[in-house]
Amino acid sequence: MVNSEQEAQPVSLMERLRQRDWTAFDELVDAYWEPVLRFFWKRLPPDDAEDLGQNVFIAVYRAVLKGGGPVGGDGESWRRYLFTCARNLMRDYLRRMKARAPFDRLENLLGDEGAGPDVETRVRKGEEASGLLVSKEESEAIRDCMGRLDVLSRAICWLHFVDSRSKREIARALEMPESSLRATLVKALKVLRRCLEAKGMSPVEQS
Amino acid sequence: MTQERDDLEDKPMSDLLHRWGKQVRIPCGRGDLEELRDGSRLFPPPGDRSALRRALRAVDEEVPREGAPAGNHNLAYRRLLRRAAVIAASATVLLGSWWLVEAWRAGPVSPTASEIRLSVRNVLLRGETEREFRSGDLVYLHLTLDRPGIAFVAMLDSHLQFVPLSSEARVVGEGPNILGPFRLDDQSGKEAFVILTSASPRGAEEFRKVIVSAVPLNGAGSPTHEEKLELLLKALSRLKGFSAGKATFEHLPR
Repeated sequence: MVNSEQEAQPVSLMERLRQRDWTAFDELVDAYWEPVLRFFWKRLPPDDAEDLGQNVFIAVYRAVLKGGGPVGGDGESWRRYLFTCARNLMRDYLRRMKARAPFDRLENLLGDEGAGPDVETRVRKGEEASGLLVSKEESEAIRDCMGRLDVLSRAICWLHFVDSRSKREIARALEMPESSLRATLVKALKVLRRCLEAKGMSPVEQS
Repeated sequence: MTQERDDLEDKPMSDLLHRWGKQVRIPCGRGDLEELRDGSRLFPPPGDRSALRRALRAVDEEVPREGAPAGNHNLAYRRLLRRAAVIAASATVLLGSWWLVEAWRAGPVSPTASEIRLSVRNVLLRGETEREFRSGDLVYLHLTLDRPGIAFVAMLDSHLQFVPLSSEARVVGEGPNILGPFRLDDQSGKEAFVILTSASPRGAEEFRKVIVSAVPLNGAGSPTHEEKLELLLKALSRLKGFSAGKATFEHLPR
Protein backbone atom coordinates (compact mmCIF):
# COMPACT_ATOMS: atom_id res chain seq x y z
CA MET A 1 0.00 0.00 0.00
CA VAL A 2 1.31 3.42 -0.82
CA ASN A 3 0.80 5.25 2.42
CA SER A 4 2.05 8.61 3.50
CA GLU A 5 5.37 7.20 4.67
CA GLN A 6 6.05 5.56 1.38
CA GLU A 7 5.02 8.66 -0.48
CA ALA A 8 8.01 10.41 0.95
CA GLN A 9 10.20 8.40 -1.39
CA PRO A 10 8.07 7.74 -4.46
CA VAL A 11 10.88 8.52 -6.88
CA SER A 12 13.05 5.90 -5.29
CA LEU A 13 10.44 3.29 -6.17
CA MET A 14 11.02 4.13 -9.82
CA GLU A 15 14.77 4.13 -9.36
CA ARG A 16 14.64 0.81 -7.62
CA LEU A 17 12.54 -0.59 -10.44
CA ARG A 18 15.09 0.72 -12.92
CA GLN A 19 17.73 -1.13 -10.94
CA ARG A 20 15.60 -4.22 -11.43
CA ASP A 21 14.74 -4.47 -7.77
CA TRP A 22 11.93 -7.02 -7.70
CA THR A 23 10.94 -6.09 -4.18
CA ALA A 24 10.09 -2.65 -5.51
CA PHE A 25 7.96 -4.39 -8.10
CA ASP A 26 6.22 -6.32 -5.33
CA GLU A 27 5.52 -3.07 -3.50
CA LEU A 28 3.96 -1.65 -6.63
CA VAL A 29 1.79 -4.74 -7.04
CA ASP A 30 0.76 -4.68 -3.38
CA ALA A 31 -0.22 -1.04 -3.62
CA TYR A 32 -2.15 -1.07 -6.85
CA TRP A 33 -3.30 -4.64 -7.39
CA GLU A 34 -6.71 -3.95 -5.91
CA PRO A 35 -7.68 -0.93 -8.03
CA VAL A 36 -6.22 -2.41 -11.20
CA LEU A 37 -8.04 -5.68 -10.67
CA ARG A 38 -11.29 -3.87 -9.96
CA PHE A 39 -10.83 -1.91 -13.17
CA PHE A 40 -10.78 -5.10 -15.21
CA TRP A 41 -13.21 -7.05 -13.04
CA LYS A 42 -15.94 -4.48 -13.59
CA ARG A 43 -15.53 -4.84 -17.33
CA LEU A 44 -14.30 -8.33 -18.20
CA PRO A 45 -14.72 -11.98 -17.22
CA PRO A 46 -12.91 -12.54 -13.89
CA ASP A 47 -10.24 -14.91 -15.29
CA ASP A 48 -9.27 -12.49 -18.01
CA ALA A 49 -9.28 -9.67 -15.48
CA GLU A 50 -6.57 -11.38 -13.44
CA ASP A 51 -4.41 -12.07 -16.50
CA LEU A 52 -4.70 -8.53 -17.70
CA GLY A 53 -4.00 -7.23 -14.22
CA GLN A 54 -0.66 -9.06 -14.17
CA ASN A 55 0.09 -7.84 -17.67
CA VAL A 56 -0.40 -4.25 -16.57
CA PHE A 57 2.32 -4.49 -13.95
CA ILE A 58 4.67 -6.30 -16.29
CA ALA A 59 4.08 -3.70 -18.97
CA VAL A 60 4.79 -0.94 -16.50
CA TYR A 61 7.98 -2.69 -15.37
CA ARG A 62 9.12 -3.02 -18.98
CA ALA A 63 8.33 0.63 -19.64
CA VAL A 64 10.28 1.74 -16.57
CA LEU A 65 13.31 -0.34 -17.60
CA LYS A 66 13.19 1.32 -20.99
CA GLY A 67 13.27 4.72 -19.40
CA GLY A 68 9.53 5.31 -19.28
CA GLY A 69 7.22 5.39 -16.29
CA PRO A 70 5.12 8.06 -14.68
CA VAL A 71 6.37 11.59 -14.66
CA GLY A 72 6.68 12.73 -11.09
CA GLY A 73 6.61 9.36 -9.44
CA ASP A 74 4.06 10.30 -6.76
CA GLY A 75 1.10 8.11 -5.92
CA GLU A 76 -1.31 9.90 -8.21
CA SER A 77 1.15 9.71 -11.11
CA TRP A 78 1.58 5.99 -10.59
CA ARG A 79 -2.18 5.49 -10.42
CA ARG A 80 -2.77 7.46 -13.62
CA TYR A 81 0.05 5.66 -15.38
CA LEU A 82 -1.23 2.25 -14.35
CA PHE A 83 -4.77 2.99 -15.46
CA THR A 84 -3.57 4.36 -18.78
CA CYS A 85 -1.71 1.12 -19.26
CA ALA A 86 -4.77 -0.85 -18.15
CA ARG A 87 -7.00 0.94 -20.64
CA ASN A 88 -4.52 0.25 -23.45
CA LEU A 89 -4.31 -3.41 -22.57
CA MET A 90 -8.07 -3.70 -22.39
CA ARG A 91 -8.38 -2.09 -25.81
CA ASP A 92 -5.87 -4.59 -27.19
CA TYR A 93 -7.72 -7.43 -25.48
CA LEU A 94 -11.06 -6.41 -26.97
CA ARG A 95 -9.47 -6.01 -30.39
CA ARG A 96 -7.89 -9.43 -30.09
CA MET A 97 -11.20 -10.96 -29.06
CA LYS A 98 -12.84 -8.98 -31.85
CA ALA A 99 -15.26 -7.86 -29.20
CA ARG A 100 -16.66 -4.54 -28.24
CA ALA A 101 -17.22 -3.70 -24.63
CA PRO A 102 -20.96 -4.02 -24.06
CA PHE A 103 -20.77 -1.22 -21.56
CA ASP A 104 -19.07 1.41 -23.71
CA ARG A 105 -21.77 3.84 -22.68
CA LEU A 106 -21.05 3.15 -19.04
CA GLU A 107 -17.37 3.92 -19.39
CA ASN A 108 -17.72 7.43 -18.06
CA LEU A 109 -19.58 6.18 -15.01
CA LEU A 110 -17.27 3.24 -14.37
CA GLY A 111 -14.14 5.35 -14.45
CA ASP A 112 -10.97 4.33 -12.67
CA GLU A 113 -11.15 2.79 -9.25
CA GLY A 114 -10.10 5.16 -6.54
CA ALA A 115 -10.37 8.21 -8.78
CA GLY A 116 -12.90 10.83 -9.56
CA PRO A 117 -13.89 13.49 -7.10
CA ASP A 118 -17.54 12.95 -7.96
CA VAL A 119 -17.40 9.60 -6.20
CA GLU A 120 -16.22 11.33 -3.09
CA THR A 121 -18.91 13.98 -3.18
CA ARG A 122 -21.58 11.42 -3.88
CA VAL A 123 -20.72 9.40 -0.83
CA ARG A 124 -21.71 11.34 2.21
CA LYS A 125 -19.20 11.21 5.00
CA GLY A 126 -21.76 10.00 7.48
CA GLU A 127 -22.24 6.91 5.41
CA GLU A 128 -18.64 5.82 5.69
CA ALA A 129 -18.58 2.47 7.35
CA SER A 130 -17.22 2.59 10.83
CA GLY A 131 -16.90 -1.16 11.10
CA LEU A 132 -17.46 -4.25 9.07
CA LEU A 133 -20.89 -4.20 7.46
CA VAL A 134 -20.57 -7.67 6.06
CA SER A 135 -18.23 -10.42 7.13
CA LYS A 136 -15.13 -11.24 5.15
CA GLU A 137 -16.67 -14.53 4.06
CA GLU A 138 -19.83 -12.81 2.91
CA SER A 139 -17.81 -10.23 1.06
CA GLU A 140 -15.82 -12.86 -0.79
CA ALA A 141 -18.96 -14.81 -1.57
CA ILE A 142 -20.66 -11.75 -3.00
CA ARG A 143 -17.58 -10.99 -5.07
CA ASP A 144 -17.50 -14.52 -6.41
CA CYS A 145 -21.20 -14.53 -7.18
CA MET A 146 -21.01 -11.17 -8.88
CA GLY A 147 -18.16 -12.56 -10.94
CA ARG A 148 -20.62 -15.04 -12.39
CA LEU A 149 -22.90 -12.35 -13.72
CA ASP A 150 -22.54 -11.27 -17.31
CA VAL A 151 -20.29 -8.26 -17.65
CA LEU A 152 -23.10 -5.77 -18.25
CA SER A 153 -25.14 -6.92 -15.26
CA ARG A 154 -22.02 -6.90 -13.11
CA ALA A 155 -21.15 -3.37 -14.22
CA ILE A 156 -24.70 -2.21 -13.47
CA CYS A 157 -24.68 -3.86 -10.04
CA TRP A 158 -21.32 -2.31 -9.27
CA LEU A 159 -22.45 1.15 -10.27
CA HIS A 160 -25.65 0.87 -8.29
CA PHE A 161 -24.54 -0.92 -5.13
CA VAL A 162 -20.91 0.12 -4.81
CA ASP A 163 -20.71 3.48 -6.51
CA SER A 164 -24.26 4.42 -5.40
CA ARG A 165 -25.28 5.49 -8.87
CA SER A 166 -29.03 5.90 -9.23
CA LYS A 167 -30.95 3.65 -11.57
CA ARG A 168 -32.01 6.71 -13.52
CA GLU A 169 -28.42 7.81 -13.98
CA ILE A 170 -27.32 4.38 -15.17
CA ALA A 171 -30.36 3.99 -17.45
CA ARG A 172 -29.67 7.37 -19.01
CA ALA A 173 -26.03 6.42 -19.65
CA LEU A 174 -27.13 3.15 -21.23
CA GLU A 175 -29.88 4.89 -23.19
CA MET A 176 -32.41 2.36 -21.97
CA PRO A 177 -35.70 2.75 -20.11
CA GLU A 178 -35.35 2.82 -16.36
CA SER A 179 -37.81 -0.03 -16.12
CA SER A 180 -35.53 -2.20 -18.24
CA LEU A 181 -32.62 -1.38 -16.04
CA ARG A 182 -34.69 -2.22 -12.99
CA ALA A 183 -35.59 -5.57 -14.56
CA THR A 184 -31.90 -6.24 -15.17
CA LEU A 185 -31.12 -5.48 -11.54
CA VAL A 186 -33.96 -7.68 -10.28
CA LYS A 187 -32.74 -10.51 -12.46
CA ALA A 188 -29.19 -10.02 -11.25
CA LEU A 189 -30.37 -10.08 -7.62
CA LYS A 190 -32.08 -13.38 -8.23
CA VAL A 191 -28.90 -14.88 -9.66
CA LEU A 192 -26.90 -13.50 -6.76
CA ARG A 193 -29.35 -14.84 -4.19
CA ARG A 194 -29.30 -18.29 -5.72
CA CYS A 195 -25.53 -18.21 -5.78
CA LEU A 196 -25.23 -17.03 -2.16
CA GLU A 197 -27.76 -19.60 -0.99
CA ALA A 198 -25.72 -22.26 -2.73
CA LYS A 199 -22.80 -21.07 -0.63
CA GLY A 200 -24.89 -21.42 2.50
CA MET A 201 -25.80 -17.77 2.91
CA SER A 202 -29.35 -16.52 2.96
CA PRO A 203 -29.74 -12.76 3.17
CA VAL A 204 -32.50 -11.79 5.53
CA GLU A 205 -34.09 -8.45 6.11
CA GLN A 206 -32.34 -6.50 8.81
CA SER A 207 -34.42 -4.70 11.34
CA MET B 1 -26.99 6.09 -0.07
CA THR B 2 -29.74 6.17 -2.64
CA GLN B 3 -33.37 5.69 -1.77
CA GLU B 4 -33.89 3.32 -4.67
CA ARG B 5 -32.98 0.08 -3.06
CA ASP B 6 -36.45 -0.15 -1.69
CA ASP B 7 -37.76 -0.43 -5.24
CA LEU B 8 -36.20 -3.76 -5.71
CA GLU B 9 -38.30 -6.71 -4.78
CA ASP B 10 -35.60 -8.61 -2.95
CA LYS B 11 -35.04 -6.04 -0.24
CA PRO B 12 -32.78 -8.22 1.97
CA MET B 13 -30.53 -8.96 -0.97
CA SER B 14 -30.54 -5.35 -2.04
CA ASP B 15 -29.67 -4.21 1.49
CA LEU B 16 -26.84 -6.73 1.74
CA LEU B 17 -25.39 -5.52 -1.54
CA HIS B 18 -25.63 -1.89 -0.47
CA ARG B 19 -23.85 -2.66 2.78
CA TRP B 20 -21.26 -4.65 0.91
CA GLY B 21 -20.88 -1.84 -1.61
CA LYS B 22 -20.24 0.68 1.13
CA GLN B 23 -17.67 -1.59 2.68
CA VAL B 24 -15.68 -2.36 -0.45
CA ARG B 25 -15.85 1.13 -1.86
CA ILE B 26 -12.39 2.63 -2.12
CA PRO B 27 -12.55 6.07 -0.63
CA CYS B 28 -10.84 8.64 -2.71
CA GLY B 29 -10.57 12.34 -3.13
CA ARG B 30 -6.92 13.11 -2.85
CA GLY B 31 -6.32 11.13 -5.98
CA ASP B 32 -4.04 8.56 -4.48
CA LEU B 33 -5.22 5.43 -2.78
CA GLU B 34 -5.73 5.48 0.93
CA GLU B 35 -5.28 2.60 3.26
CA LEU B 36 -8.06 0.17 2.58
CA ARG B 37 -10.27 -0.57 5.53
CA ASP B 38 -10.43 -4.07 6.83
CA GLY B 39 -12.80 -6.01 4.65
CA SER B 40 -12.78 -3.52 1.81
CA ARG B 41 -10.14 -5.36 -0.15
CA LEU B 42 -11.76 -7.53 -2.77
CA PHE B 43 -8.69 -8.73 -4.58
CA PRO B 44 -5.72 -9.49 -2.38
CA PRO B 45 -2.42 -9.32 -4.27
CA PRO B 46 -1.43 -12.69 -5.69
CA GLY B 47 0.31 -14.86 -3.12
CA ASP B 48 1.95 -17.06 -5.71
CA ARG B 49 4.02 -14.75 -7.80
CA SER B 50 5.87 -17.35 -9.80
CA ALA B 51 4.10 -16.31 -13.00
CA LEU B 52 4.98 -12.70 -12.33
CA ARG B 53 8.57 -13.68 -11.59
CA ARG B 54 8.81 -15.56 -14.85
CA ALA B 55 7.47 -12.56 -16.69
CA LEU B 56 9.90 -10.26 -14.89
CA ARG B 57 12.80 -12.50 -15.80
CA ALA B 58 11.71 -12.43 -19.43
CA VAL B 59 11.54 -8.65 -19.35
CA ASP B 60 14.96 -8.45 -17.70
CA GLU B 61 16.40 -10.52 -20.51
CA GLU B 62 14.52 -8.61 -23.13
CA VAL B 63 15.62 -5.17 -22.00
CA PRO B 64 19.40 -4.89 -21.82
CA ARG B 65 20.93 -3.13 -18.88
CA GLU B 66 22.25 0.34 -19.58
CA GLY B 67 25.67 0.03 -21.09
CA ALA B 68 25.55 -3.74 -20.98
CA PRO B 69 25.11 -6.14 -23.85
CA ALA B 70 21.73 -7.78 -24.17
CA GLY B 71 21.26 -10.74 -21.89
CA ASN B 72 19.41 -12.69 -24.46
CA HIS B 73 21.76 -14.27 -26.93
CA ASN B 74 19.31 -14.27 -29.79
CA LEU B 75 18.35 -10.69 -29.18
CA ALA B 76 21.97 -9.62 -29.03
CA TYR B 77 22.74 -11.55 -32.16
CA ARG B 78 19.79 -10.07 -34.01
CA ARG B 79 20.70 -6.60 -32.82
CA LEU B 80 24.26 -7.16 -33.99
CA LEU B 81 23.07 -8.36 -37.37
CA ARG B 82 20.81 -5.34 -37.72
CA ARG B 83 23.68 -3.01 -36.90
CA ALA B 84 26.00 -4.80 -39.31
CA ALA B 85 23.41 -4.58 -42.05
CA VAL B 86 22.95 -0.88 -41.44
CA ILE B 87 26.70 -0.27 -41.45
CA ALA B 88 27.15 -2.35 -44.59
CA ALA B 89 24.35 -0.52 -46.35
CA SER B 90 25.76 2.86 -45.31
CA ALA B 91 29.24 1.87 -46.40
CA THR B 92 27.94 0.65 -49.73
CA VAL B 93 26.10 3.89 -50.32
CA LEU B 94 29.13 5.96 -49.27
CA LEU B 95 31.56 3.95 -51.36
CA GLY B 96 29.20 3.94 -54.31
CA SER B 97 28.79 7.68 -54.09
CA TRP B 98 32.52 8.18 -53.77
CA TRP B 99 33.18 5.92 -56.73
CA LEU B 100 30.59 7.71 -58.84
CA VAL B 101 32.04 11.11 -57.98
CA GLU B 102 35.57 9.94 -58.66
CA ALA B 103 34.56 8.29 -61.88
CA TRP B 104 32.82 11.43 -62.98
CA ARG B 105 35.83 13.56 -62.09
CA ALA B 106 38.32 11.22 -63.65
CA GLY B 107 36.45 10.89 -66.87
CA PRO B 108 37.23 7.82 -68.92
CA VAL B 109 39.18 5.08 -67.22
CA SER B 110 42.89 5.68 -67.68
CA PRO B 111 45.08 3.31 -65.77
CA THR B 112 48.75 4.12 -65.65
CA ALA B 113 51.33 1.69 -66.79
CA SER B 114 52.55 1.14 -63.27
CA GLU B 115 49.02 0.36 -62.18
CA ILE B 116 48.75 -2.13 -64.96
CA ARG B 117 52.21 -3.49 -64.08
CA LEU B 118 52.77 -4.57 -67.58
CA SER B 119 56.21 -5.80 -68.24
CA VAL B 120 57.71 -5.10 -71.55
CA ARG B 121 58.38 -8.79 -71.82
CA ASN B 122 54.71 -9.37 -71.73
CA VAL B 123 54.20 -6.72 -74.30
CA LEU B 124 56.79 -8.21 -76.56
CA LEU B 125 55.10 -11.54 -76.49
CA ARG B 126 53.08 -10.21 -79.33
CA GLY B 127 56.26 -9.66 -81.26
CA GLU B 128 55.23 -6.20 -82.25
CA THR B 129 58.82 -5.08 -82.53
CA GLU B 130 62.11 -6.70 -83.10
CA ARG B 131 63.99 -4.19 -81.11
CA GLU B 132 65.38 -5.21 -77.82
CA PHE B 133 64.55 -2.88 -75.05
CA ARG B 134 66.92 -1.91 -72.34
CA SER B 135 66.53 -0.31 -69.04
CA GLY B 136 66.17 3.41 -69.38
CA ASP B 137 64.64 3.28 -72.83
CA LEU B 138 61.91 5.72 -73.40
CA VAL B 139 58.87 4.17 -74.92
CA TYR B 140 55.63 5.52 -76.13
CA LEU B 141 52.95 3.32 -75.10
CA HIS B 142 49.41 2.92 -76.13
CA LEU B 143 47.10 0.55 -74.45
CA THR B 144 43.79 -0.10 -75.90
CA LEU B 145 41.40 -2.00 -73.76
CA ASP B 146 38.63 -1.05 -76.00
CA ARG B 147 38.09 1.75 -78.33
CA PRO B 148 38.78 4.46 -77.52
CA GLY B 149 42.05 3.64 -75.80
CA ILE B 150 44.47 5.65 -73.80
CA ALA B 151 47.95 6.83 -74.52
CA PHE B 152 50.80 7.94 -72.36
CA VAL B 153 54.53 8.10 -72.22
CA ALA B 154 56.54 5.71 -70.17
CA MET B 155 60.12 4.71 -69.54
CA LEU B 156 61.39 1.24 -68.95
CA ASP B 157 62.87 0.72 -65.55
CA SER B 158 65.55 -1.75 -64.54
CA HIS B 159 63.01 -4.51 -64.47
CA LEU B 160 61.74 -3.46 -67.83
CA GLN B 161 58.56 -2.26 -66.27
CA PHE B 162 56.92 0.81 -67.66
CA VAL B 163 57.44 3.89 -65.57
CA PRO B 164 55.10 6.63 -66.66
CA LEU B 165 56.96 9.84 -67.26
CA SER B 166 54.09 11.93 -68.36
CA SER B 167 51.00 12.49 -66.35
CA GLU B 168 49.30 13.35 -69.53
CA ALA B 169 47.09 10.69 -70.87
CA ARG B 170 44.74 11.09 -73.71
CA VAL B 171 41.74 9.35 -74.82
CA VAL B 172 42.24 8.51 -78.40
CA GLY B 173 40.09 7.29 -81.15
CA GLU B 174 40.63 4.39 -83.40
CA GLY B 175 44.16 3.92 -84.64
CA PRO B 176 46.36 3.96 -86.42
CA ASN B 177 47.44 7.48 -85.63
CA ILE B 178 50.15 9.38 -83.89
CA LEU B 179 49.66 11.57 -80.88
CA GLY B 180 52.12 14.01 -79.54
CA PRO B 181 54.24 15.45 -78.62
CA PHE B 182 53.91 14.89 -74.92
CA ARG B 183 56.22 16.92 -72.79
CA LEU B 184 57.93 14.62 -70.36
CA ASP B 185 57.64 15.22 -66.68
CA ASP B 186 61.30 14.52 -66.01
CA GLN B 187 62.32 18.15 -66.68
CA SER B 188 64.50 16.97 -69.52
CA GLY B 189 62.54 18.96 -72.01
CA LYS B 190 62.21 15.86 -74.15
CA GLU B 191 59.14 15.29 -76.11
CA ALA B 192 57.61 12.03 -76.96
CA PHE B 193 55.05 10.76 -79.34
CA VAL B 194 52.57 8.02 -79.06
CA ILE B 195 52.22 5.84 -81.99
CA LEU B 196 48.99 4.04 -82.24
CA THR B 197 48.49 0.94 -84.20
CA SER B 198 45.16 -0.42 -85.11
CA ALA B 199 43.79 -2.00 -82.06
CA SER B 200 41.88 -5.19 -82.09
CA PRO B 201 41.25 -6.16 -78.53
CA ARG B 202 39.43 -9.34 -77.82
CA GLY B 203 38.41 -8.28 -74.43
CA ALA B 204 39.21 -5.88 -71.72
CA GLU B 205 40.41 -8.61 -69.44
CA GLU B 206 43.16 -9.70 -71.78
CA PHE B 207 45.89 -7.17 -71.31
CA ARG B 208 48.46 -9.37 -72.99
CA LYS B 209 46.53 -9.28 -76.18
CA VAL B 210 46.42 -5.55 -76.18
CA ILE B 211 48.32 -4.21 -79.06
CA VAL B 212 51.16 -2.13 -77.81
CA SER B 213 53.48 -0.07 -79.83
CA ALA B 214 56.66 0.86 -78.11
CA VAL B 215 59.19 2.94 -79.86
CA PRO B 216 62.44 3.95 -78.19
CA LEU B 217 63.46 7.48 -78.97
CA ASN B 218 66.55 7.78 -76.87
CA GLY B 219 68.93 10.39 -78.13
CA ALA B 220 66.31 12.03 -80.24
CA GLY B 221 67.36 15.39 -78.87
CA SER B 222 65.16 18.14 -80.14
CA PRO B 223 64.39 17.09 -83.64
CA THR B 224 62.62 19.31 -86.04
CA HIS B 225 59.17 18.50 -87.09
CA GLU B 226 60.40 16.81 -90.17
CA GLU B 227 62.99 14.92 -88.20
CA LYS B 228 60.33 13.83 -85.80
CA LEU B 229 58.27 12.54 -88.66
CA GLU B 230 61.18 10.73 -90.13
CA LEU B 231 62.02 9.27 -86.80
CA LEU B 232 58.54 8.14 -86.25
CA LEU B 233 58.21 6.63 -89.65
CA LYS B 234 61.44 4.74 -89.09
CA ALA B 235 60.12 3.55 -85.81
CA LEU B 236 56.88 2.56 -87.40
CA SER B 237 58.67 0.69 -90.08
CA ARG B 238 60.29 -1.42 -87.41
CA LEU B 239 56.97 -2.52 -86.12
CA LYS B 240 55.83 -5.79 -87.54
CA GLY B 241 52.61 -5.70 -89.40
CA PHE B 242 52.36 -1.94 -89.31
CA SER B 243 51.68 -0.15 -92.49
CA ALA B 244 52.96 3.37 -92.42
CA GLY B 245 50.66 4.25 -95.22
CA LYS B 246 47.75 3.81 -92.90
CA ALA B 247 49.15 6.15 -90.30
CA THR B 248 47.68 9.55 -89.97
CA PHE B 249 49.58 12.52 -88.70
CA GLU B 250 46.85 14.94 -88.21
CA HIS B 251 47.59 15.18 -84.48
CA LEU B 252 51.10 16.25 -85.01
CA PRO B 253 51.72 19.83 -84.10
CA ARG B 254 52.34 22.08 -87.01
